Amino acid sequence: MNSNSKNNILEKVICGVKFKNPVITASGTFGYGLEFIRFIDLNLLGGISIKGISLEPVEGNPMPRIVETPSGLLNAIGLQNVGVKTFIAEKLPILKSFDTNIIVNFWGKSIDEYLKVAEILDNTDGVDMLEMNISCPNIKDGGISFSSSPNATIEITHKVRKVIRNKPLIIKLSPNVSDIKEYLKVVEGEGADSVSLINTLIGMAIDIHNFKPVLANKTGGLSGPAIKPIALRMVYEAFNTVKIPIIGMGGIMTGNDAAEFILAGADLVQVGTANFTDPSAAINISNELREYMNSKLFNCIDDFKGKAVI
Amino acid sequence: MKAKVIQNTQINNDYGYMIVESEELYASSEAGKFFMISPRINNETNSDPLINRAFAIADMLDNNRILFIYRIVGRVTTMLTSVKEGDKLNIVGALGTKFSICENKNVALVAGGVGIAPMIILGKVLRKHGNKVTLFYGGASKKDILPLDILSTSYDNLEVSTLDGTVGSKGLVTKLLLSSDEKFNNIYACGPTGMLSVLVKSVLLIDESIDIEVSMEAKMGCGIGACLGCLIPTISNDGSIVNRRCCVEGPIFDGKKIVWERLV
Repeated sequence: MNSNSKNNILEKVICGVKFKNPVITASGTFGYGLEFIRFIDLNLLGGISIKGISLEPVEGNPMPRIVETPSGLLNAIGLQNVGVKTFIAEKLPILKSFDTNIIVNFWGKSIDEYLKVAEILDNTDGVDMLEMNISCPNIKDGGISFSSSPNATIEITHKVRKVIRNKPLIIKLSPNVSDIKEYLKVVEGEGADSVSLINTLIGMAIDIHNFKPVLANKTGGLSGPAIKPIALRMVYEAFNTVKIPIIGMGGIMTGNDAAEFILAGADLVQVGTANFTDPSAAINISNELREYMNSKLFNCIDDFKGKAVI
Repeated sequence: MKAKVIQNTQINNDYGYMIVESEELYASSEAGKFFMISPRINNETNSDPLINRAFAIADMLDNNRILFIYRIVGRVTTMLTSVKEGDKLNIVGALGTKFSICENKNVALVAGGVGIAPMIILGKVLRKHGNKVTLFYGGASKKDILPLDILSTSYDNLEVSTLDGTVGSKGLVTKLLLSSDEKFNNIYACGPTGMLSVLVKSVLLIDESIDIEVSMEAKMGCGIGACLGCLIPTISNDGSIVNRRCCVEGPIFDGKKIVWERLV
């Protein structure tokens, strides 16, 4: 079955943006999308969330940056990216030629940098949505410091909201807080159009032979199936807390995993670490989700969104 | 993509080799490239181990068949030992850069341990291009020197060394190369990063004009350039240090352009 069929049960609209299927590749796990052109047809994706873009190019953290843990991957890449200018000049023109939604994940080392990069992207053709990252655990300045207290989250969301006038604004939230409901309320209150959750959980691995952390950054962000139950719990809390659309993620490897997130209240899902194990993971997950929906006689995502928790 | 297992042979407690069949993998394979194998053998859904593992293309055989060698060091390579003929592997590849092939030169291949893998196909290709190939093959002990019949057409001359002297001369393979009377125009090497570092530095002290290509190893998250977990520090043309992805801009690098101090 192809996604252009007249009755596409996978289609979902959030914030006025139509997704041909609810599966988006998650920021930081899909590069600039272009890395995958050799392996898959990007036109089959619901959307691509681009690796976190900052005002200037960023080199990222020293090596080692990744280590596998039980059913998970711990990373401390450090938001390495080419910077907004190069992204717009070199990557976006190619991405624009594909029929999929381009969500640009962005961040800054200061509020001023957040505002500048947000304003540039808000005025760039070919960008369908913006996803503000206030939750990267791997950089000292910016990133997680803006989601470390509700007040910091209010300030950054308030200011960025003012400069983003054209595109829907998604806020990507950190799970590394004691009560995510507080943060959900404040970003909705400050005018966020949608929330995405969860970013990675802060974790650590130790090299017992060299008596030091495996990662040069000491700690890293844990992703993969290991974090799925936590992510589901937080999506469920989000569903009970906010009315804006929820993009759920955390360890989704199969269509059934995606179904769990939608049943917990997600409108859309993102697939991250699975892209590393199979470049066609997001497409397979979308197809498997359609099979699941057909088997349960669901005609659209809303037929079962939050069904497990209402 | 899928690859069908044609043969899986455990050589000894530490090493095995496998022959897999895949038209797509074969079509994109060249000496120096690698591919990623998923730990989900026969489409199983296990999530632990999770991440794919990289293996060098050791040889290209008839009928779209690829040979690779694995050293049994962790959970995934231990899983590989129980793979049977007819099993299906999920693979991604071929990936990365290839060796540049010189012509009509006197060439040294230097392999340390499982670093022999890409040298098998490289030696064959180099010999087809009129090169005289001497293979310097080193390991810790006799068990690290694989049966030589699978590489018999990859060299003109063979020099073997082991650290404990159980086979070949005793000592480091790099010393064996440096003590050779032959004058080599090109060197290709694959092995532990420490070995490659010593090799490149030692050769440069003797003759800066020798071309040295090395096949680098790094822990990889994806193998296709997305995760940025496998960077190798290199010197760019303007002299600045630039990190390059081992999986896309490598694994084959100009040995003189690697910033070895940052790796060893």
